[in-house]
Amino acid sequence: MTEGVYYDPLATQILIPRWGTQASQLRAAADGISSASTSGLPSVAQGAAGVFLEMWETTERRASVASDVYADELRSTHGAYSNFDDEIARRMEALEAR
Amino acid sequence: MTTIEVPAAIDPVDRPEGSPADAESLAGTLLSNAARISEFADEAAALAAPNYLWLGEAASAYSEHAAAFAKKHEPMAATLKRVARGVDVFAEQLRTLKSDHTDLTGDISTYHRDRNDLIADVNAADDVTEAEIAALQERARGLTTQRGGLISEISSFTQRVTANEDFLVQLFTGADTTVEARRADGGIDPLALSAIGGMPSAADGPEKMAEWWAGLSEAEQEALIAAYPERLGSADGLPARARDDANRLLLDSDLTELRMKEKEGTLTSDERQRLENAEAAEEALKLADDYVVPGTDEKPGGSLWLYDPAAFDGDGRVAIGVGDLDTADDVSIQIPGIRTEMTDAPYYTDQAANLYESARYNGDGSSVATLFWLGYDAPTDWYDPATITEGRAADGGERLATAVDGLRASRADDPAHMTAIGHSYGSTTTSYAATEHDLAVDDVALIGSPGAGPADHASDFSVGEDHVYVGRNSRDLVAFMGDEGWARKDWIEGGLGVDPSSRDFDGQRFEAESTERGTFRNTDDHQRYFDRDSESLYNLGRIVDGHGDDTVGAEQTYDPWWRAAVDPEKSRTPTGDLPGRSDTGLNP
Repeated sequence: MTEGVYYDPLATQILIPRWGTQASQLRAAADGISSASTSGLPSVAQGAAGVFLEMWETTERRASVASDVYADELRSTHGAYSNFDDEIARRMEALEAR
Repeated sequence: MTTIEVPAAIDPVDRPEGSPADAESLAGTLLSNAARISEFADEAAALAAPNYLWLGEAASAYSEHAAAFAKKHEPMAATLKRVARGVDVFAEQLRTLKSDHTDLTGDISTYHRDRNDLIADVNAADDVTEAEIAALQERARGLTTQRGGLISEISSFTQRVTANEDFLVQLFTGADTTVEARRADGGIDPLALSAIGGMPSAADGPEKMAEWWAGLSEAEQEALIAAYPERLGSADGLPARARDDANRLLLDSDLTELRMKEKEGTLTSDERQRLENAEAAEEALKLADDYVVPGTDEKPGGSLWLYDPAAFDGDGRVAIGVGDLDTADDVSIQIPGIRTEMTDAPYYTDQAANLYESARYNGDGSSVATLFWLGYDAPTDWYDPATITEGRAADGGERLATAVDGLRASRADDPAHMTAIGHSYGSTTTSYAATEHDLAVDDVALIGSPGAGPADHASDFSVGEDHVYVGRNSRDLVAFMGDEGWARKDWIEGGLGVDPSSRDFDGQRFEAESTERGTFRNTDDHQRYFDRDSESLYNLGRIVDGHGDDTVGAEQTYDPWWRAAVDPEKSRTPTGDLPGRSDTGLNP
């Protein structure tokens, strides 16, 4: 447990779109790599180039998914904080009504 | 019966597979993606940083995880960039190999033609004399020797093709797993990894650097350039060709990365400056590469000898050559003055081309290379306090002497005749190098000089007073700033030293007036020393060619005690395009 909790919704509002942008950037990178042509390379290198490009494309797609996951998690975190806040407020209001 | 041993035919040599242009295109794609990953790693690290809007255990857990995620990607960008540069190196080598293949195939065809001629002559020989038999045997022996040479060339060529292909395969296989991609040395060829350990430090001196490089195989050199262009591009002592290869890689890489960021709107102000510097280097290099001496078909080629666009708080360092710095008989190095920044590289490269033309046109047939060198932090502008003090010149002088030592060491077995030409504040810088750092050139020329820094007399220079040449346009306002007569920098505040065109200094003054000179002293005449068909460019060409004795002399300035300093050249009518005096090339 930390010494205190503070949450301003602005925090996630800033982070979520920026992670989204990163995901798009990495998808563009993965697309760029998948469209790279190895036909101009000597035949002896084409297999190695193919494996290389495939690995990098996969890695970048995974990173783009991870970026999307960060955005989703932050959205969910924001939802949890808000719901928790709403729930406590509802209970307090219920206490007052007694 | 007499036998004539005709040597066997030679099998055709396979043309190296692959297309240099397509490989370069692949390298460009990889570089763009390396830049994207680098940007991603930076942005992810920024997004992971804790901030005051969100505190607590959840915030800490998020930060920790996101930071680790960002960190994993940092080395990946560097790895991909190294592979991309390696593909570029492969492409360049492939281009050379294809050209060599064309030459080799031509030589084999010639051999087969000569062989067929011999066979025909042997078959036609009937009732021949002893002398005719001896002649046929001699031709057969010649062909046998020729064949031996060609077989050896083919073997060497095939090995080079294989080494280049192996290098490419190694590039890909060395970085095709995530573990390899994330390693600090990901994408570095094992040959380069092992060779870099032997690289001497700059402090060991350029001779050691040259020795180390000469002891490497071609494959090791190729791998090193791909893996460590930052270290090799400015390594004094390396051949100009190796530095050029490394610097071109850096330039391509910068242009790809920075232009992509510009397109995506993510350039920082420092990066914008770096992009401007890189684009200036690109333009200047293209000028040098494409330069054809006017009125001829001579194309000397360019080289990027120094490339460091972030140096000196963004002013940058750059040096661009015209001609082959590794082999030219005569090599010059031009040192510019105040207000020179990397973005001025195209202007100064034009000057280097003009100088090349002049040295060749009036020359003795020797080969020439001219190098524009901005390797020091020139004062920013007239209002910059550094302009009237010698600090930058003193620092630049040391750097210049080191650069020249590097050029010398890179071709110790084939020394060139070398000339340093300092213009404006660059003449003060050159004076420091020649006075305090034993500048290893044969001749020095100071043009438009505001003062010779620490030197009071031409004999203070390392080259000896007979090899110190001075050009001063009588209307040049900046050249008027040098000390004359009693007014010395020791007695007045500031100043850059003695006017080297003066009798007191006693250098070899040459004609440097311009037909376009102004009526009064001005700064335009400070910029005319490299104009085509001018007196100054003619004389500089003669000096660069190693014939300073043939310069057209001019009377020195002097300062009688009863009046202001006198420049005898002021009243002389300048010449332009006059053979033996100011004709510097064929008219286009």
